Amino acid sequence: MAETNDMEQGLRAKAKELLESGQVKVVIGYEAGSVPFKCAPLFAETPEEADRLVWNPTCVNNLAVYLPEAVKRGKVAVVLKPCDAGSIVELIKEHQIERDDVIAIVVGCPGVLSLDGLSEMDLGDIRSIEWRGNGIAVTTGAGEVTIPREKAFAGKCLSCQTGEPALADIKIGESPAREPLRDAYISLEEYEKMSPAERRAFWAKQFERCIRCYACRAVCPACYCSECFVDKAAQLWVSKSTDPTANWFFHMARAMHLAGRCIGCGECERVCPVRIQLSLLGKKVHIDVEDMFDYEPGADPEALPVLGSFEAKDPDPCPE
Amino acid sequence: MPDEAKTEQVQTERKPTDWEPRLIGFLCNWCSYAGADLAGSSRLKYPPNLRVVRVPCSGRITPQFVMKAFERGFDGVLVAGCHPGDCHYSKGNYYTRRRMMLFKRLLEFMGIEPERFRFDWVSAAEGNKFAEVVEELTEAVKKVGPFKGVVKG
Repeated sequence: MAETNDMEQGLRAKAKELLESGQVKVVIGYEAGSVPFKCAPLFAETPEEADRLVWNPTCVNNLAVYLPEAVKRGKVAVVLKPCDAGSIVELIKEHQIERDDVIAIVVGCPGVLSLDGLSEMDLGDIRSIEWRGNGIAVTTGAGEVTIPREKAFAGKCLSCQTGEPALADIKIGESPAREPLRDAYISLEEYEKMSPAERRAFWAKQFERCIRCYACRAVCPACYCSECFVDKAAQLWVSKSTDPTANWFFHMARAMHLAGRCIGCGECERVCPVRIQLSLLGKKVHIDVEDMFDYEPGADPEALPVLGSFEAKDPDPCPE
Repeated sequence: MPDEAKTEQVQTERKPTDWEPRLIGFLCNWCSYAGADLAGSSRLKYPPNLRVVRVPCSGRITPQFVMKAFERGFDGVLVAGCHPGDCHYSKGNYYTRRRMMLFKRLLEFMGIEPERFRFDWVSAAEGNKFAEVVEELTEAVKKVGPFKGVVKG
């Protein structure tokens, strides 16, 4: 798609300009990965390095996770998909970064790749992946294959509303306006048909698989605590073992620690090596926070953290 | 209902069973713990199933306290604090309110029967209410049965 090549060119030009002028010490973006269907994060400190920046369907990572450390070395520009921009809002709100420390470069996003969707196509010798029409075009040794967005894109992209990003210093391109293909909370509707015993059994199966690798925690921009509650030993909140009950404790507590802070980038679920359906937890808490406190994480940097504030009219256990 | 009639009702309706719920209550020092103490000094009869953990303020209570209780096999958990506006530390209970009301929904979502978790306000003068709350929680937990574990059927 000619337009998306333009975005990549525009991004490189902007990044070079920011570095040449000395406005930022580093531009955090994406570059080609070691395999054609994955990208890698790029920390470009010179205009030459900035020429390696890419913007294509493989750019799934939420780069906001690098910010709290990166800003310690100077001003940072970061490439963000519109959905990732909310992470910056939360980091500013919690004083992990200052607004002036970061230049948010928001790129227009048609949708990013789901590796599951790609592997289902069973294509060999993949050379490159680019946006085409409503989906993607995959160039292989044998030719080109187009995949429609229902199969190609990550689940979150199929329910994306493509609204304005919460925060953007520079915008490169526009996200195409399109109707969401499905409701973001459809998985919750299905889940809530289960009885309490069925739900416990569901999570038993999920948490049997958890190996406590903490990939979900590592990739999450909101998980920046220098000492996580699971790392404590003197006050042992939860066993370090992978017993399903201990795993339950970790994920429950993490869900509450992220309440009103998770912007739904879905990275946790994407990186989980054993495919735990973490988005169910995130979505449930998100929908409750919105319902009970009329609060949207990642929307307003001036808003107070939802569990760090209160109102007289909050839901009450014994309303008068 | 007059106090004497309530006490009588509590005494006659409890029947001996093999299993007794093990309940834990996190009570704030200034209101709910004092309310519990008043229930005691008033010699009110209420089920003996509740173990009490006193905290300085209900704001000290995080979801991890409640989760720990269920993880350890308590059949039911009570969290009680001062009424909104009456917190000894001005606003601790407002934070508790948001936290616990949200957490209550998450607990139910995860398959822990809502009857097992009770979040309420009990003031230092509400000895009767405290007895009532423990009575109600005990009965509710008896109905749902022994807790088999956070991820067990």
